[in-house]
Amino acid sequence: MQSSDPIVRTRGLCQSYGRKTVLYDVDLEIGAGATGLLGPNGAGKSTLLRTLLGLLPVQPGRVEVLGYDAGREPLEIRRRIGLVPESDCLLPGMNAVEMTTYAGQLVGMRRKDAMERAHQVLFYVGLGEARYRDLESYSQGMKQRLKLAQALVHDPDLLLLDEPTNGMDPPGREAMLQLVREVSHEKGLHVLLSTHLLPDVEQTCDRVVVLNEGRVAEVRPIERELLDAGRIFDLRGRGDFEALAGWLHDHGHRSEPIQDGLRVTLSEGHHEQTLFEALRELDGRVEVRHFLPAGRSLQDQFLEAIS
Amino acid sequence: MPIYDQGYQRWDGELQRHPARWWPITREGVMKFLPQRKYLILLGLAWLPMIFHGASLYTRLKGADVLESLLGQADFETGAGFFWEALSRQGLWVVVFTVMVGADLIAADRRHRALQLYFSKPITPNDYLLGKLGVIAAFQLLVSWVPMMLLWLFALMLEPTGAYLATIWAVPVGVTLYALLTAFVAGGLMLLMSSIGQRTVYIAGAWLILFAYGPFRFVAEILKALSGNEYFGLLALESDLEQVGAWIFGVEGPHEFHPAFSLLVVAAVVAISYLALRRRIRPVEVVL
Repeated sequence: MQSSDPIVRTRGLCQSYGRKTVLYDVDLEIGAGATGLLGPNGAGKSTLLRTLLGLLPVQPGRVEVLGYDAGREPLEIRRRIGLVPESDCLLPGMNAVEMTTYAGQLVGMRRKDAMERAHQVLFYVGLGEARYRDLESYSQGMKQRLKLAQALVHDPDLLLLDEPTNGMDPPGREAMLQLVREVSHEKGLHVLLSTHLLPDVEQTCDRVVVLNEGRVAEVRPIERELLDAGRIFDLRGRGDFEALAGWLHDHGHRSEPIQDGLRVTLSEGHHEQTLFEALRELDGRVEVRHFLPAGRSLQDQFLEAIS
Repeated sequence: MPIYDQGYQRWDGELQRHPARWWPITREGVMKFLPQRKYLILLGLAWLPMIFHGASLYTRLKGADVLESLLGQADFETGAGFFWEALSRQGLWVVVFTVMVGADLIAADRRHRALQLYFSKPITPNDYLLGKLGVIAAFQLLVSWVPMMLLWLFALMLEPTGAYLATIWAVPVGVTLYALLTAFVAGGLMLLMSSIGQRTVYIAGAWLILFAYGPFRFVAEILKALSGNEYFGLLALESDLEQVGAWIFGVEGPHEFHPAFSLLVVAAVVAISYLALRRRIRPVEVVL
């Protein structure tokens, strides 16, 4: 597999449970880095994750994960994937070190390697001090961290996270997202984060896939950079906004009409001064009453995609 | 500074690719129980009869003259029949350990929703079932196969002659076959009960009724007596297993019909247990 190849590629993927079809003809390419998987309940997110893991037969369609065919090589895929499941899953009668070591052995690590690595990842996820404690006494946040540790123990190429911040308090959630951000952006692991919490995706992912009613509604990069750079503005008021849009287009900027105005995305290196210049040049043909830094939040994109 | 600030480190080791993916499951299960004092004590108790069998064998092989003068009998069994007798008496301990080890094996995983953790790894449902069966089988072998093999070696030490070896050479094969058959029948049925039930006590109760000491043997005996039809004996699974075991060892079994019928029943129970387990243990639970 080459570095430019997509991590996940599906072609014409359909999935059904009995007579109920859950995924319809899904064509999807997910590149390297961190990707958010968003969708309302019943959109098919969990089914897509199960298919990527090779737990559901691929019929019809074709699914490749990390260059392996999910229908024919599911075990190869699962060797290279770490899954953080949505619901609590503990192995009874074990502490965190034993459970993480066991998870490593199930993937094929030697016991000694798995044990060493278990200590490493448990410290990494912040359970170092609690690693010998009875799992039954763990808080919800600790259980989530433990699930992350068992998914990371064999150093997977792709980390699948299913609602990883479920039930966590705000500091715990922030810490979890920080861990996910670090492994994806600094350590080179690819991440697929399935969640209904839009801010989680906004904070950790480079792009978002929106699923709706079993279909891919949208795949787009997260415009975090644009937001951070202050290059998106909402202008509202009266006058000839079409002329303003034309001026912006001629100067290499993007705009789209919104109610009573325009949403403007300035090209790289430009700031609000560019807009003042445009308004000056249009010589009063546009009367701006609201001038606000904006940018479509992920929530806007999500709502638009599923509408 | 929190200790996890040391950051994530990549791992460049190699994953093993041996086909026995079930082995870590079996090892983990065995090591969970084996160090516990109650299991060690019970294992010790399970081996006690072997001291009796060893002494009995010694007396039969080395003190036949004394026995003859005391009991007035010259012919004492020291061949395959003796070993079959000793092996079938270990059946009680096989039942004890199957109940103690097996009842919670799958039930606990289901209660703690651990199956998704297994199946997110390169583990198939067959690997999982084989791994769990291995835990039960390991304890069964510890109380049947291992002491029987030692007893066999002891017998050869007592009577290291070609003639005696010729009479007991097939004993290890028979013990191994019977131990494996018991593991598949008793273990498979226990795993099925464990995958269906939630509470250990009910699981153990259901298994005991189906496999051992249950009403089936009693009912079979009554039906046999009332109808005169020997084939009602097939209803009692434990005695079917006994019939097959006796066949393997070349001795007379509890029933008069051909042991192949019992073998068919045993094979059917194994097949049904497996098919039912495959329906219960699936990587994806679908609730529509």
